[in-house]
Amino acid sequence: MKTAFIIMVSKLLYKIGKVIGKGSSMPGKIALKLDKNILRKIKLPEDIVVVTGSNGKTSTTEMICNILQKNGYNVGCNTEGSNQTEGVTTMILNCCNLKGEVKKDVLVIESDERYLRHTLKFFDPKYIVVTNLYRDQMTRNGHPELIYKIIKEGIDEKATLVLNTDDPLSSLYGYKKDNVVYFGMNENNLSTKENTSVYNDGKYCPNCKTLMQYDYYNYAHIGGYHCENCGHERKEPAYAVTNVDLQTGEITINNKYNISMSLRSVYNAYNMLAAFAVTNLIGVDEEKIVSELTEYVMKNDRVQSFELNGHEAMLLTSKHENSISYNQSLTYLVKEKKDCTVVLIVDAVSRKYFTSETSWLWDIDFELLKDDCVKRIVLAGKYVHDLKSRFEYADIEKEKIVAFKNLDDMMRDVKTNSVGNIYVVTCFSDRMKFMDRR
Amino acid sequence: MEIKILHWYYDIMNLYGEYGNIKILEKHLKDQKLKVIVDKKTVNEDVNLSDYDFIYIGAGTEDNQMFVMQDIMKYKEQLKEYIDSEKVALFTGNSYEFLGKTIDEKEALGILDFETTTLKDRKTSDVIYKSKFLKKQVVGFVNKMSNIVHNLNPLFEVEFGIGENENKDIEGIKYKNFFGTHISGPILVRNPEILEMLIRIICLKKDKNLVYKKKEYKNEKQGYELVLSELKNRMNDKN
Repeated sequence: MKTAFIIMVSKLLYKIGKVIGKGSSMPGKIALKLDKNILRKIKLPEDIVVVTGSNGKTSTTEMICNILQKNGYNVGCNTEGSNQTEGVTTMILNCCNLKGEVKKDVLVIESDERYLRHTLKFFDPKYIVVTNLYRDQMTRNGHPELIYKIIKEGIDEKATLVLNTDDPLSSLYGYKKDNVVYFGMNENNLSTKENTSVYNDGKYCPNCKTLMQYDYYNYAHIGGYHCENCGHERKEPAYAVTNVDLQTGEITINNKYNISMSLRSVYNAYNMLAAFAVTNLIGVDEEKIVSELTEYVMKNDRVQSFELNGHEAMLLTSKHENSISYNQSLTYLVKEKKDCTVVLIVDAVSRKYFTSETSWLWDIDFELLKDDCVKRIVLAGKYVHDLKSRFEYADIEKEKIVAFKNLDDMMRDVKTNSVGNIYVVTCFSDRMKFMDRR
Repeated sequence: MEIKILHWYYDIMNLYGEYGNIKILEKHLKDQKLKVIVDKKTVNEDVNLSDYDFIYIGAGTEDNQMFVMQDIMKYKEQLKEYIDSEKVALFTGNSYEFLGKTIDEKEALGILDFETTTLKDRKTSDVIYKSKFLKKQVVGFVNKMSNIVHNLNPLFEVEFGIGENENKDIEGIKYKNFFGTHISGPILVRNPEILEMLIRIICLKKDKNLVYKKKEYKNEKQGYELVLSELKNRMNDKN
């Protein structure tokens, strides 16, 4: 009876919250206060997928849900809500009837990497997907090795792990384990023999700190590696990108299926692969997955195309405090090979918390912009001086770079002096400051 | 004249952006019309510390700190000699913990009299420190998991954010021309005054007649002032 009451309260609060525009954590928070073991009393479906990791959680979760829904599964999912314990609780209780049964075939849950260990105290997922582990929001996450350990505390022995075999850190969860399915990208025409990034977090084996041997890199420290000391290595993936054609924007999966990517970026190919793997494990036919992935247009608006004073323009939302996310945007725009102006804005480091920490700017490969197609670079925002300091050492012609602390001045310059296409590379916390000034 | 810099354990003690310190130091030394050589060395690579005029180690993960400890122990005598001869070194983040007697139960270099213990939870914070060696405050970010108790000469007093341990309002250690602080990342880019102070000492130690020629670095100065005012606002909001 009490369980039914809590479910009712949570559902009601959720509805009220929706009307008054509140976030999705509050109902779950109150439900957990009323009974901290509430989720243990709920009858959950057998198929529960949890997606965690540094980058690509939301995209991967979205794709998994979409493929499942299009194939007739009734899916419960938190892509639009909070990914911490409270938000997950809200979502699950929302999927319940008053008898405490979740009336869904599958639950797909995006989990914040720091909260996974708390969230998974209350239920046992069948699949845990770890997309990757990168330097991300270090001001609150500490560093990737720490996040590795924190996630590990939450991983249930019985769960099947779906891991990125190309990432030496997150793939370590599968070390000497059987219950693991790997996805990855084979060496291809975009792979390089050397790591050209400003840092290399794959240089030493995360397991035993021996110098890691790399055969190739796909980007950053993502690639083909093996450790001669402890044997930690890239395992042959069951789900693999076997070819990449950036001209046509197509990737080939398992030598068989060609899928065109809405955004021509290898980074997103990993999210597709993870979604392919999980949905196939749940039981969707490969052909059906392929057709959904082909037709699928991302719901999230991280990439937006628009026109600005006669210039084709594109917003490439990148995460502050996350160098790989920035590198992804920079790599993309340079590979497009169009004459362009690149706008970089660092005005508020985070929208969720206060910090003036900008050390992460030094981890971004701004050197990528040393390319003939980049005609002009506009630096802007409160932390423009820190950006400028970083660019002092990026070996890019000074004449190409202009800087504005004031965003109105920036916009005036972008509107009048831009050359070629305009790419706006900035974070959720700052992107509307550009978009609203158009 | 030639200044030799050692960026030690550059590829492991690199929590984020620490190499910026070396980039800016190199440039500013060159602006003083000095020839600069930067050597990047890591574990299992032989170094002769007395060859250098400046040694830098950045912050690392806890595992990497332990990994480097196995290597740096070989240099106990060399490093002690280097520091005792008043040569200049900057160790940031958890790297200056190497100099103490122990890190948890493990034996460290024992060059300075302090002990480090690892905390259960990580502590991160924007900080404002002040120092009697500097006219202006220092800004930065601390991202650490350790506690240090010592009676040595502290480098900083805490004005905002976290310090060396729960009880004291101090942070870092200054011993002769060794500077240790938990501030991570490119501290020298963000604090022009510390950079200038280090260059002055490096020059002086190299040659008494080598005088630092004052140079204005407008962008770094403005960047520093902005961060300081942001952090001060934050500090006042919190009070």
